Amino acid sequence: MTQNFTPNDLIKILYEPTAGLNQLLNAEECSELASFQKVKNKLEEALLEPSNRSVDVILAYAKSKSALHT
Amino acid sequence: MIKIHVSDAALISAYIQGDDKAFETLVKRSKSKVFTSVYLIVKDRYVAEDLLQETYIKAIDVIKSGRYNEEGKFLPWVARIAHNLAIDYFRKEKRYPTIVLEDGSKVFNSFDFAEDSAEDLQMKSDQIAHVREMIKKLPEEQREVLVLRHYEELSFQEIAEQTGVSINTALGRMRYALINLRKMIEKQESAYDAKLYPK
Repeated sequence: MTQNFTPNDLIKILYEPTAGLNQLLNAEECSELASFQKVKNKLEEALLEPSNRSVDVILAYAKSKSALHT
Repeated sequence: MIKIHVSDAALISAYIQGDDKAFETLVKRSKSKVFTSVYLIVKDRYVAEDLLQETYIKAIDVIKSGRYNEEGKFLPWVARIAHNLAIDYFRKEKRYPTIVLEDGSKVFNSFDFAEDSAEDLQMKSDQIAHVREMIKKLPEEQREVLVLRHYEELSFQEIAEQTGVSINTALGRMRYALINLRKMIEKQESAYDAKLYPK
């Protein structure tokens, strides 16, 4: 059985996959999806880390609030 | 070693009960995406650091006061707080650009970014930073959907509701964003190869 996917369907599969749907893709769609996945991976690599100082401030506040409530 | 994944909801419950480590885990899971999303809006690392702290402090206050009633994941909720704070930052600075709709009403446009900072220029030397620069070059509507879907983890349904477009339009904008980024990445990679392996 063949199923036609629209270009937007591929984006939906990339970000909100439904089990088993990948197996219905043809070779061209698989290749397009793989190239989108590569870009998605690059976006993940581009994540920026906040400074430890900022994280420490947040965690200290979280701790102080816990102390207040116990 | 077996790793057990504890759900966000379980971690929030544990934090309400006084387990600080549970909140630390939530911060570790979400901080990079929240920070990147804020940075891509305000374009200033120092402002983004301040807004990140303010975001989590607000989140802690809501959780500890018993007002947290989100059923979904922690990240989209905390990212939404961060997004709203970034908008407030521009409002306060009076440099927040507005869009006039067809009916004459004005909406704030959170994705028309500020100018590059000195910090930004320095980061441009970093190869990974190139991808962030590419994101900034995307047309505004594409960048908005990309940040909301990829970094803030909103569903396409939620993006459609938040931005007032159909799901299909949101999906289309995301697709064009990825296609444009793919072109920019390929161009960068071929330029890099040409430099590395001159003919």
